[in-house]
Amino acid sequence: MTKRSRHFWIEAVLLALVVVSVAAAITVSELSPLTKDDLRLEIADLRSFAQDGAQLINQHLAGQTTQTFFDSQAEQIKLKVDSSLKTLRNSSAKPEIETDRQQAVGLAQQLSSEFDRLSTSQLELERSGPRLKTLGKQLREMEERMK
Amino acid sequence: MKNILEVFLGILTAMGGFVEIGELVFTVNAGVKFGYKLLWMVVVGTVGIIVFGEMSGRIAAVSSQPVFYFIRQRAGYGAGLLTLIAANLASLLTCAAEIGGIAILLKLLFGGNYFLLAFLTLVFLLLVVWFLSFQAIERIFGLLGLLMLVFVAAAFWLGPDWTSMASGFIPSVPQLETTSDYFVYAYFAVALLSSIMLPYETYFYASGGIEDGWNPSAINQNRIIVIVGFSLGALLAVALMIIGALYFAPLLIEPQMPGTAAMAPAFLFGKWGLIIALLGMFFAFSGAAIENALTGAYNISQFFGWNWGKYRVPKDAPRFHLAWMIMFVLAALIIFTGVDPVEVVEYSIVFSIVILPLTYLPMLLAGRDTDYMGPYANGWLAGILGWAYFVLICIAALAAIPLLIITHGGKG
Amino acid sequence: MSEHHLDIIRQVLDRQLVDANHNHCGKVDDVELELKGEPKVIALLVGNEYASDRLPEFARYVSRKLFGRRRLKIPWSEVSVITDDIKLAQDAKEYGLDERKGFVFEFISKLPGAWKK
Repeated sequence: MTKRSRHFWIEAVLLALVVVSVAAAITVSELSPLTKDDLRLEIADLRSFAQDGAQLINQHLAGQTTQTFFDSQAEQIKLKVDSSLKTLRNSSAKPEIETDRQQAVGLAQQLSSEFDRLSTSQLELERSGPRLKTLGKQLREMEERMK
Repeated sequence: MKNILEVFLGILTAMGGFVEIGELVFTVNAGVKFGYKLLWMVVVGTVGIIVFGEMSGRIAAVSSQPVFYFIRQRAGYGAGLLTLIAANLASLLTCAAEIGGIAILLKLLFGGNYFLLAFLTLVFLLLVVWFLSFQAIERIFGLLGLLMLVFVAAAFWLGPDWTSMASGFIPSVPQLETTSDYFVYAYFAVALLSSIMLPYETYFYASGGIEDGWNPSAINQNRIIVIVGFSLGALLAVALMIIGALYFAPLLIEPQMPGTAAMAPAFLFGKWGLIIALLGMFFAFSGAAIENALTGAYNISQFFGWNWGKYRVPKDAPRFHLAWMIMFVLAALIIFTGVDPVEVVEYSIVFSIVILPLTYLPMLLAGRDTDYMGPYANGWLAGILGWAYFVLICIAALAAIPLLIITHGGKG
Repeated sequence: MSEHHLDIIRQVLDRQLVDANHNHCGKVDDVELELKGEPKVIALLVGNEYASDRLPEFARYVSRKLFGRRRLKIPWSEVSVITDDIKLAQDAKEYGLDERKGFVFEFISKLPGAWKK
C-alpha cells in the first residue's frame, strides 16, 4: 500500500470511529432508563410549564395580553407539556423511582388536560388558574423531595 | 457633523443588535437560577466582545481585509477550511434558531400555523436581504431592535436592590446548595460568555466595516461605536437578568420560550408592553438571522476568494449571493423538522464557544502584526486583553461540552 | 515588505487574486516553482485540484468528489503588482477565472434588480 492510500484509510477509519461512537453514545443515553436526576429534571420542566400557564391566565384576566397571544402561548406550553408527558410515558425508570415516574405521568396528564380545557370563558379561566398553580405546587414538592 | 450622526447611529445599531434569542434565554434563566450572581460574566463577555470587535474592525479598516482572508493566510488551507466549516455551521444553527424564534413571535402576534409562519419568515428575510442595501438593513433592524429597551424599563420598574446587584458584578463563586448546582453555575457562565462573544459578531462587524468603506481614519469611529454601543447593549442583558431574578424566579418559571419572556413587560406595562416586547424581539432576532446568513456568505466567499459584498452589483458576485440564500434556506429547513429553536440555539452556543479559539487566534496574530497593520497594530492594552481573553475562551471551550453533559443541558 | 525579497509563503500563497478590473479571481492555491538552477516562480496555481492537495488524504478524496478537479495556471509574467493582493495584468476572463458564468451566474443574474448598482 502506498503511503498516501495508507493515510487515506487511517483517516477514514478514525472518522468512522468518531461518528459511530457519538451515535452510539446518543442511542445509549436515549434508550437507557430514567435516572433519579432525569426524572427530577422532567418534573422541574413540568413545574415551570404549570406556573407559566397559571401566570399566563392571571395576566390575561388582568387584560395584560391579547387573545391571540394567550391562545398561541397556551398552545405552545401545551406542546411542551405533551412532549414531557411522552418522554415520561415511554421511558422505563429505575425500579426505585418507578412509583415517582407514574406519579409524574399522572400529574403531567392532568396538566395537559387543563390546557385542553382552557376556554375563553372568564369563569372557566378563573378556575383553571388556581388549578394550574396547585399542580405546579405538587410538582414542586416532588422536585424538592427528589433533590 | 455627518460623522457624529454616523457614530450615533452606529452606537444605536450595535446596541439594538446586541441581544438575540440565545442570549435572551440564557440571561433570563441565569437570573432565575442565580439571581444577580452572574452579572460579572455579562461584564466579562462585553469587555471581550469590545476587545475583539475593535480589533476586527481596526484590521478591516487598515488592511481592507476581512477575517477569513487572514485565517486562510495564517492557518493555511486545511486548518482554515476546518475553521470555515465550523464557523458556518455555528452561524447556520444560530440562523435557524432565530428563524424559529421569529416564527414563534409572529404566531404570538398574529396567530396561524407555525410552519407556514416559518416559511413566510424565510421569504421575508430573502426579500429584505436581496432588495435592501447593507446600510439600510443595518439601520432598520438595529434601530427597531431598540424596542427591546422595554425590557430595560421593566427591569427598572421592578425596583432591583442596587446594593445586592452591585455585589453581583464582582467575579465570585457563590454559596450554592449542591455540587450539581456548581456545575450548572459554571455552565451558565460559559454559555453567557459564548452568547455575548459569538464568532459571527466579529466576522460580520469586520465585513460590515469593509461594506461601509472604512479606512484608517475610521478607527476612532470604530472604537467609540464598539465601546459605547456594546456597553449599552450589555445593559439590555443586565436588564434581562434582573427580570429573571425579580419576576420569574418568585413565580418558579424558567422561561423556555420568547413569549414567556414577554410576559414581564406585559405585567408591568399591559398590552402595549407586550406588543413592544414582541416587536423588539422580532427585529432583534431578524437582525441576528440576517447577520448570520450574511456571515456564512462572507466567510465562504472570503475564504475561496470570490467577489463578495452587498456593495457590489449583485450579478458581479453571484456566488456570494447564492451563498446567503442557501444559508437561509438550510436554516429554515432545520426549523421545518419541528425542532425547538431554543434547543437549537443552546447547541449552537456551546458549539460556538468550542470553535471560538480557532477564530480569535488568527485575529490576534494579525492584529499585532506590524507588517500588516503598520502603526495601527495592537497597542499594549489590546495586546494584554487580547491574550488574556484568548486564554479565558480556551478554558471555556474545553469546559463547555463536559459541562453540557454533566448538567443535562444546564438543567441540573 | 522589501522590494528585493518576496516571501512566497507569506505574500503569495493563499493571497487574493485580483484582475485588472478589480474583480476577485480566487486565491493562490499553490505555486509552481522551477528548481533547476536558480529557483524561480513559474506560475500561480488555482483550482480545487491544487487546493485539495493540501488536505489530509481522506479530506482530499471527499473534496475532489464534491467539488471537482479544476486546474488553472496563471503564468508568473501575468502578475502586475503585489501588495496585499496579487494583481493580474488582464481581465479575469482571460485566465478562465471569471465567476460570471455557469448556472450560479445564470440564476442570480436573472433575479429582478441583479444588475442594479
